[in-house]
Amino acid sequence: MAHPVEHNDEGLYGLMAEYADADGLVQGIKKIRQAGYKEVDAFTPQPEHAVNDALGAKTIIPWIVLAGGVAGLLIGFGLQYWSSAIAYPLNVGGRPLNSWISFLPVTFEMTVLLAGLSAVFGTLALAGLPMPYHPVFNVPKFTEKNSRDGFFLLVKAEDPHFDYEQTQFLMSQSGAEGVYDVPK
Amino acid sequence: MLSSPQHEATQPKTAGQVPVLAPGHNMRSITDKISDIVLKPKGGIGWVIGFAITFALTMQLLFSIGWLLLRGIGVWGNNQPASWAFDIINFVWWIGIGHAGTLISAILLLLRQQWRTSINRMAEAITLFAVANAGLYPLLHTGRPWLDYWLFPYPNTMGLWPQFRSPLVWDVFAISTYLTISLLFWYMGLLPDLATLRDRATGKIKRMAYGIFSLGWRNSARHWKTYEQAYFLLAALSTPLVISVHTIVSFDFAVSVIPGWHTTVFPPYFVAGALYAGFAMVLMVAIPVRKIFNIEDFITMRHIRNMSIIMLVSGLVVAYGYLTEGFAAWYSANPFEIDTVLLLRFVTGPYRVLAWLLIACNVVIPQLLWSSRVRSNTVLIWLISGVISVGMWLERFVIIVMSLTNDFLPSSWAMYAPTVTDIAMYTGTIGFFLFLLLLFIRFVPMISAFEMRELLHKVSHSGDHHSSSNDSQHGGEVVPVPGD
Amino acid sequence: MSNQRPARGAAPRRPSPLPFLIGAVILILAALLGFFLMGPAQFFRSYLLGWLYWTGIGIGGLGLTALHLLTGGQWGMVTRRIFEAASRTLPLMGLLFIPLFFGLASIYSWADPAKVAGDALLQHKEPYLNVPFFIGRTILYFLVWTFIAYRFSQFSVQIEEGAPYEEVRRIKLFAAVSMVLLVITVTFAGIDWLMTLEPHWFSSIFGGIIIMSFVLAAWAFGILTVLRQRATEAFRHVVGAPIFSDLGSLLMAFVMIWSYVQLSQLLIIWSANIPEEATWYLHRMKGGWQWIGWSLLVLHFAVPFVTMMSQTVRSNPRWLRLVALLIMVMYFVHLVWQIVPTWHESITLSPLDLLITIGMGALWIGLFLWQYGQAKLIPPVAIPELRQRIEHAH
Repeated sequence: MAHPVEHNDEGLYGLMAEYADADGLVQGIKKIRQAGYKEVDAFTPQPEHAVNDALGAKTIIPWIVLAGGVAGLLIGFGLQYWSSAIAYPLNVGGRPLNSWISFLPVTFEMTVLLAGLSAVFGTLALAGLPMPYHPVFNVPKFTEKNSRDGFFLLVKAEDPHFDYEQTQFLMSQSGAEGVYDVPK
Repeated sequence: MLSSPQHEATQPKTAGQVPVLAPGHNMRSITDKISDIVLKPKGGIGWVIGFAITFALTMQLLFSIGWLLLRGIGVWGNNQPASWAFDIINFVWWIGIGHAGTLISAILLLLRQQWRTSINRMAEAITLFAVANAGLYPLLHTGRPWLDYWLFPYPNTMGLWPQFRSPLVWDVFAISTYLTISLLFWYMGLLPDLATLRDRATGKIKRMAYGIFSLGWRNSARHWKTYEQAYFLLAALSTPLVISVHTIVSFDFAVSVIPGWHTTVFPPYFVAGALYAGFAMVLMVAIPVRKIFNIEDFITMRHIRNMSIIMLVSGLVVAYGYLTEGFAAWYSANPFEIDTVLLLRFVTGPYRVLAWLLIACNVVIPQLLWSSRVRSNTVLIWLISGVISVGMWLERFVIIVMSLTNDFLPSSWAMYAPTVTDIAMYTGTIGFFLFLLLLFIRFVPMISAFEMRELLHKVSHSGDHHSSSNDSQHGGEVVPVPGD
Repeated sequence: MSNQRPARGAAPRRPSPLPFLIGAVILILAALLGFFLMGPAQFFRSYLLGWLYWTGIGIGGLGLTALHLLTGGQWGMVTRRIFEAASRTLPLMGLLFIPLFFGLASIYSWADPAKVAGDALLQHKEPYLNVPFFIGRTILYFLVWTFIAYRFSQFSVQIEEGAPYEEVRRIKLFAAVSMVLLVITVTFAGIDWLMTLEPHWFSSIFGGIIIMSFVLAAWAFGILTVLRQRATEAFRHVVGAPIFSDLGSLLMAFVMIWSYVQLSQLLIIWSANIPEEATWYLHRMKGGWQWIGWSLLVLHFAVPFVTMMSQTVRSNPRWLRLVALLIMVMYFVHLVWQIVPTWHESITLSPLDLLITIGMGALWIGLFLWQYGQAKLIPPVAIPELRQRIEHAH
């Protein structure tokens, strides 16, 4: 268990607990959330559906991708229609100016392109990345294990329920293998 | 009595019960084994020799490109009527090779095929490097590559816009979209592993480099939620994308009126041909790599066999393409179709030996893969893959050069032969491809570590079969030995 | 062990006579109408349409059975009996083709010696397009399909009962070879029955289009059958939202492939604009037929595709049924669009087209229901896994 000699809430980003496995982490999250904490995050080396569910994590990424796709569709077809039928009308082998059958491939590619770009950049934006510095990296155990086999729970100090002693006690009671300070 | 055959019955295709991940691994050992290939490289001398050779070939490529820029595309063997030759053959060949990577990473993800996990990263890298090589050719074939931005629609002082009824313009959009999305898909899959390398690297420069490229990824569960969905959606987008790319490549030929080019079966048959060549290339890379880097635990015989089967199936579709193309040519009763597709190609034409060779390479020899004994022999599979790569190259040669040099009027017939520059450039691209592959293996984890950790749970939970329920997970658990 | 053995072979259920009776009455009525009122040519043409509609579902079922034997997967566990039963309707459908032998000349111009005599192209094609060879090929297709269908039905039960590994491998090899045979025979069947309606026209992807049409129709029929029985004892615990979602995803995949082959043909022929090919589309893009073409684009592709994209929609049995039903209707419209413009420049639908399709349907459904009851509807070995999946979702 962690033994902070002295602590100063001012310089503290939050408290972090380490669990042996995903099941333990899920139990920990449930306990902490039952106690009313809102500013909670969890860290797992790979996607864990149970952890996501326990956290109540939600995402709007499908809608962002859909919006990107629809925009790509409209831009793709609009570009071809406008340039071939309005801006630069050219008779090509007697085909109609609005050769919509020939415009399908580019329309499709633009749809996929914009949807794909929104998927990647939407994910980064929603996660607030790139963010080279983050307080969680100040915990040595975290940097050592987080991307390999460590399961961590974070309660931020900005949570209204946060109280150093009480939160630390609650976390260590939740089956954690260790509780660490997260300095800012 | 009742329960014992269940597993076999519901899932008869466990391919001899070889697991997708060898037993005895836990989360830590997987992570360490994968990242140590990058962080603590062993056997440096072989890599250095390979690097030297492929670097020399890359220089050869750059030199031939320089020569081309200096003298113009007259240094190629292209002539009239063979205005398309090595450049388009190699373009189609390379782009086809790229397709297996996207298929493995995207379609198999959608189908929840667990065996994809240990090969998808490498396959995606093959895609990227192959598409990069492919892209070179049409860009250079314009003759003035510094003006290639003219291909894109943008407001310009000439008041011109691209001619969107042309498949060559579709190509511009298809290839650039494909390259962009493949790169992003690959990078997105790489992100958590770069974070692992950042955390595990010891040197300051390495930590900095991996730190920059990992963008500060910290495995937050909230981020994972978005990440997983976005990754799945990217896979769902990539699947039709990869099919559209080779379809559009086939349109380059099929929407023309040249006999031997214009036939409606081209799109699916080109896509199948692309997968055929692509899987051959993935196998040709994976078989030696798993030996050299001692990762037979991760890329098991199961992978090799499954890929051989997909290769066989796509080869059969290609054969079906030949069959229907030939039948339609005769059935059309059009003398030019009959001459070009049947007579000149196989009986009287100047390239008939190549055509028969392509049938041998693409249709006859790969039928060996029907035998499960052949599918368990990596040397034979490697050789057959090589034969298929050659066969698919010959197919493009026969389609492109044969049809152009022997079209409607015999007075315009001519022969085509590649020049030294053509050959130097082609071998140069092969060297460049391997060069990039060596860099990739050295600096980036070639197997997706976080997905392997995920796979560990699935395998340990449900034996060795397809399952979508894996909500409860146990960290650090050792995989039990799957049955049989 | 022995109580797990399905009833097949031991005590085959008797077919219910009612659908056969209805079907026979309607078909006889149609024949009378045809011969005395609308002309025998119309009768044979409508007969081809109605016959093909139901035969296609049987062929698609055979293909999906082969696919599932080769790939496995939960989607097939709830549908395989349906597809096996559908494929066992093929022998009867083969017999029902016999009446067409007497009307070939009024359907296919290449079967009319007077027309061939004045047409150099048809003379070139005569080695392939002649009546005896055509009939021989059709008989051959049905022999191959019947053989494969019955072997598949035996094999799937053998596998479920725990055949040894070597046996399973042998069966899979048989399935793989059958798949190759199926693709080739259905391609040529599609060419024979449909493409040669306009014998000057040719398209090398036509076989692919026909294969996908049949597979898609069989798949939609399978979904409808599963949904119809979802409250029954056999199905109640093994189907639910996750399975519906799987079925819907595959429906979307098949719709996408169907659209892909259609679009490939259209785009290539439209862009090249060669007279000998473009005429086929010209016949189908004017005189009102263009609206049928548009309806295919919207209702055969866009609506199913967009609705099936959403997991919420495809997990919902009501929506899924609606879309599957739409596919079944559009499959008919598509066949009409393929067949009828051969003879009619402007949009026409004979009452006989509908009547014969319904009559043939009654026969087919009667046969299907009889065949369907002959083995356990859900393979017993698959039940625990399916149950677990359904319970997990709650």
